[in-house]
Amino acid sequence: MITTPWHQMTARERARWIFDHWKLAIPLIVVVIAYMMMTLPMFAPLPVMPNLALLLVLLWTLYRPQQMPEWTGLPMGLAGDILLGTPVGANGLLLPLFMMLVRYADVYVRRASWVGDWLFSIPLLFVYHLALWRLCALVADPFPFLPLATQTAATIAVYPFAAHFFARIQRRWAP
Amino acid sequence: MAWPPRRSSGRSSRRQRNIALLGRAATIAAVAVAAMLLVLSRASPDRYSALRSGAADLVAPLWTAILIPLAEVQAAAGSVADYFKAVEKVRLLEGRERMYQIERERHAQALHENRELKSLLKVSEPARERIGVFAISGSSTGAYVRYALISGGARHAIEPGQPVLAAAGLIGRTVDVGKRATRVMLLTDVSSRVPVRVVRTGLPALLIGKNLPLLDVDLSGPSNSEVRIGDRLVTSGDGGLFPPGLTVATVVSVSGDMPEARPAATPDGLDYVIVERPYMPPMPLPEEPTQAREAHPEAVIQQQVAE
Repeated sequence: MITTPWHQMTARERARWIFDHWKLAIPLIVVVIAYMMMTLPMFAPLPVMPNLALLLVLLWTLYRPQQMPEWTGLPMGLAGDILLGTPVGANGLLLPLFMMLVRYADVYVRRASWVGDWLFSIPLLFVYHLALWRLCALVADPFPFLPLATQTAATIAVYPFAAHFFARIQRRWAP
Repeated sequence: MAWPPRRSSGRSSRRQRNIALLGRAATIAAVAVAAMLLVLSRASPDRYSALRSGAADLVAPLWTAILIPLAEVQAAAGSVADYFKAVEKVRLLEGRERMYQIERERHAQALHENRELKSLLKVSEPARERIGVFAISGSSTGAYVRYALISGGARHAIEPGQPVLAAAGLIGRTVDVGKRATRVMLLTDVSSRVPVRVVRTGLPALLIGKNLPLLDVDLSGPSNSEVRIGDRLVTSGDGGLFPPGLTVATVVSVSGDMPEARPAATPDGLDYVIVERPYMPPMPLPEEPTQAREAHPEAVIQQQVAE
């Protein structure tokens, strides 16, 4: 909690404040690391690397929405665009919109357990990849949907692992 | 379940409302900025090339370090499998050897004859020049692009737009060059176009990547040629980037609206690749004396008067 206004702090106090609040950046750092993980060399004929970063964003938006405001989707998405080679701004535009969609849908869909959350995530992940596909085709060369479809399937498949990982991060590093 | 739980109703303090308002404004700003960036990247896709090469520089050493033990394991598994199939393999290869013996003699004769004829005609050919051999250290397996990272960069005199080859055939071309790492656009990338020649007929075609394992063979050029399953495609040297005669792909299906081909070299399990200079770099156009054309006629007259 900020008690002194920023412009009244001394340089020392500001440094102290940043040092005390670095944990606020954990979600952002973890998602960027997930994007880096996705560049792991795996020469499969079709992409089988799940969209880990998107899964983590989904989990954060579902379970700890206050740790990840919508606007942080822009820097995370831009990092992803630069690392993955999608047109710069594609993920940056879609991630904030995705978070808004998840928050909106979360209010209307009732789920009993984590399996319900898993099922709930399937259409959302699919819609995200579909939107990414259309956006990339609009901005650059059109390409078939099949690679994105396999990536979506992989992403849906690793949901429990990502959720487990997310829970571990929360236990160890929760701000 | 979101934590802390969202309050459905109830009063919020002025401070909370202000923070919510600020957050909403920031979100709208973020979406607007992202849309703007997207429009900019539509206008000029190469604007962010420097950033991408920087990212490549950042990621490549990481994966090189991680992949060293993996490569050892892969190699070990491969050699164990080789022992089990040794007898079968030797028999197969002996059979092939006999088959190819005759072909090889014929080939040697043709090569000799070709050399003689070329020297008689005094044909001048540009020489191929190798820049270096580099390890492949990673790839973006994303659905959108097909890239590989190699362990050489501007420090090793690599530039964008140079052909990358492996022993089995063409891999792709360099695109984003960092200091120590370079992104290679694979043949299967959507924006990859390689001019090729069908070996059997000698007619030209264009290989188009589509982010899938197979490539499209575009035969709609001026020659309107046909291909059969099993036809080999080699680079034609059109455009001056790739040296002619490199193995690129083999036609595997002719059923759809476009024949499809499988690339001869896939970066799967590749260790080292060769980067060469473009075979025939495009000649710089002679600079026109633009001043006379652009200057206003009156100014030209004044200049003449002054002289």
